[in-house]
Amino acid sequence: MLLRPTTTDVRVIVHTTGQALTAIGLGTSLLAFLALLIGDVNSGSALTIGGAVGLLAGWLAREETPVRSPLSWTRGMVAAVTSWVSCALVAAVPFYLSGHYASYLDATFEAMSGLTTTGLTLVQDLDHLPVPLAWYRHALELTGGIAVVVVGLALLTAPTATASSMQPSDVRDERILPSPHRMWRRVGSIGAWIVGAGAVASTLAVAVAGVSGWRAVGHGVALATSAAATGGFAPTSASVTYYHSATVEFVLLPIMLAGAVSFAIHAMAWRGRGRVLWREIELRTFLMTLTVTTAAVLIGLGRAGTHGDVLPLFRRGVFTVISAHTTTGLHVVPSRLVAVDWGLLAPAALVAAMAIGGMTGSTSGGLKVFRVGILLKGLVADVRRVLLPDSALVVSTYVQDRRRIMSDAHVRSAATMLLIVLTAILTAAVAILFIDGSVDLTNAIFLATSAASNAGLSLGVFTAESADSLKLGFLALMLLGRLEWMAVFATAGFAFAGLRGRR
Amino acid sequence: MNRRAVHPRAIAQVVLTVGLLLVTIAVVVAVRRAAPTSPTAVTVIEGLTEAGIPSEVVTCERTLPEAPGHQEDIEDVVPVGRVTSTEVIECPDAFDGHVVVYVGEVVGDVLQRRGGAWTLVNDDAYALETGPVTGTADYRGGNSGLAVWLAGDLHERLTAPGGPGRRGDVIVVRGVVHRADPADGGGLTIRAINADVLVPAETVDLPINVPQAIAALGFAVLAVVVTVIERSAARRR
Repeated sequence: MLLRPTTTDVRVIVHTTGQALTAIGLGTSLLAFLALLIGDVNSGSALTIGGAVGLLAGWLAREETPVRSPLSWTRGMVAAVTSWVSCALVAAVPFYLSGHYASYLDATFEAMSGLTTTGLTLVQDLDHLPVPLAWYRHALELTGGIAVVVVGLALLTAPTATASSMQPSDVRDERILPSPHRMWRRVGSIGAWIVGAGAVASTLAVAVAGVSGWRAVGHGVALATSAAATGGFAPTSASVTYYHSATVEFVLLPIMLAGAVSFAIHAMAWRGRGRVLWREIELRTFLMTLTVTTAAVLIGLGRAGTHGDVLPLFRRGVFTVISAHTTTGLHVVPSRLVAVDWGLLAPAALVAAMAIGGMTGSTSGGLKVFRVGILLKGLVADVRRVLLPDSALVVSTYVQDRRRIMSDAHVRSAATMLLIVLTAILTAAVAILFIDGSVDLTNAIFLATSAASNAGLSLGVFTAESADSLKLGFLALMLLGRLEWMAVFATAGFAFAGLRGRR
Repeated sequence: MNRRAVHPRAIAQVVLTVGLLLVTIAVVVAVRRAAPTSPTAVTVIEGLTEAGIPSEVVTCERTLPEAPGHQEDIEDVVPVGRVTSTEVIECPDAFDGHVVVYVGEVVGDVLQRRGGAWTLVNDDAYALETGPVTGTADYRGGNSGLAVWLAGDLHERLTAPGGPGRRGDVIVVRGVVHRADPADGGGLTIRAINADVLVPAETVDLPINVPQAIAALGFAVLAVVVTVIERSAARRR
């Protein structure tokens, strides 16, 4: 029986959304202060308006709904959707006022792309963007990245390790989630280490590449933030290509990989549980899929004859495939070149890498390697069942924190999620072909996968001149991909129950 | 029918929320419309050719070994002379090893290395037609450019690269296109034989958007007042 949500449910969701808006407002206000400090009054006033709107909206939501009721799974999921949407709408205000976005839709798209750590951009004339607005883009990525990890660990992974599940475990809805404040602190401290160490290394690398003074610090912090949040925004239109430096690329690789690794695994490594780590299903699957897709990209590049020498082939190929697999979206090759000069196999392997994505409880998007690992284990178990005598009992296990028995429900739910993702990508690709007649099938599939996996790599066909319907579609796709579909289904169910459910 | 009375606080909340939404939309639209402009000098450059470069015919054939015999002609013939970044990126094979003329704005940093410097040279509308979008609100899409290696002391001719609040030097480069430059780890580059500043860098003197500053002050005061009220209420609780 479908139960209508109670007033308390709605109040908890509004209250949580208010907290998210307040956080965005506070962060934006801090950047406004810094902008005024460096004398950029126009950017400072744009950020002040954005920050104040966030604080006022957050206050309205929190002040009038002071609740102490716990955040259950359904409430948390709905609150995640409402928070992401309302934060993107509010965060778009400074972008719109900056004059670098042709419409409020473009500004909202940029904010959503940052908050979902996607990296697709509709900014006009990025190379002349005021510095505080560039900081703001990266701050949104960082905020979105941390929020994604909190939501991922709190809502999308169960204590019984059903991260593959379409549905939470049986007891999940009654389970009271850990305090968001505690989660923020825990995730924040690990994230601070990754971003902090990454920023120092990136700044040094960028300085060695020839960027001087404070600009080196700005670029270094921006690149480290983008890589750790697996975001993909870059300080210049040429992304990492701009630096002409193998050192910069080499420094960014481990930061991107750290962003794609589950923060739960980071915490285990922190506690010195290295032995268990190696048996983790997510880590093993990640290494396997990364090896396979890297090999495919390198073979594809070799066949296409893009690079005559081995070293350039490895340098461009490995960076691009890691950027795709971690769903970061930083690039060392102009986007169009991948379409026109990389043959067919390499872009196809990049699509596969983006679709698989990183680990659950990380900042990366995609299907997630855990589900791929479960599906592969399920396949192996089925083959063993065929080969062994009928009387044999086949039991498959996997390690996630501890050894667990894999049930058919795990495989079914992972397969269901795979089906949803593939259907969404194909539907989006067909929609792109309908809306924009100049885009071919390869580009459409690449772009749809990039948006649905929050990767942000593009083949140069999605620009600020693209149709509004396409932008709206990608906005939805970025949100759906970011919250792993379940949150949006939960919200739709919540709304339906509000209309048709029983008291 | 049992009808529950609506709490006055709920009515106040709805009124406040709708009010904030309407005021925000009105203010944002108004201050965006009031934004001042400050266009840089018009730098429309058309039909630039340089004497001494023989016109050459190239054909764009993409290398797609997965489809043997496949040829995709974008432009049947492209006279090598002045090229754009879009032409080169769309068909790097065709221009590989050819001497070309390339015109664009130097943006970002001049990355000095041993034997020269790397620059990013944009030839989009903001570089060659309208100037930075901040000063014009004339939207022409994203940036587009190529990496240019200025050998020796060629980079010393530059006055300033473009960036926030400044359109950089617009330069004319005569150089060789490298589809996969080994000196750049396989990147697409132009190695300049010669480079001259066509239009020197220019600052975009954008005045302060006064209506936006006043609106920001109003919103900030409101946010501070609300925060103080909230804090004191929390203390009382």
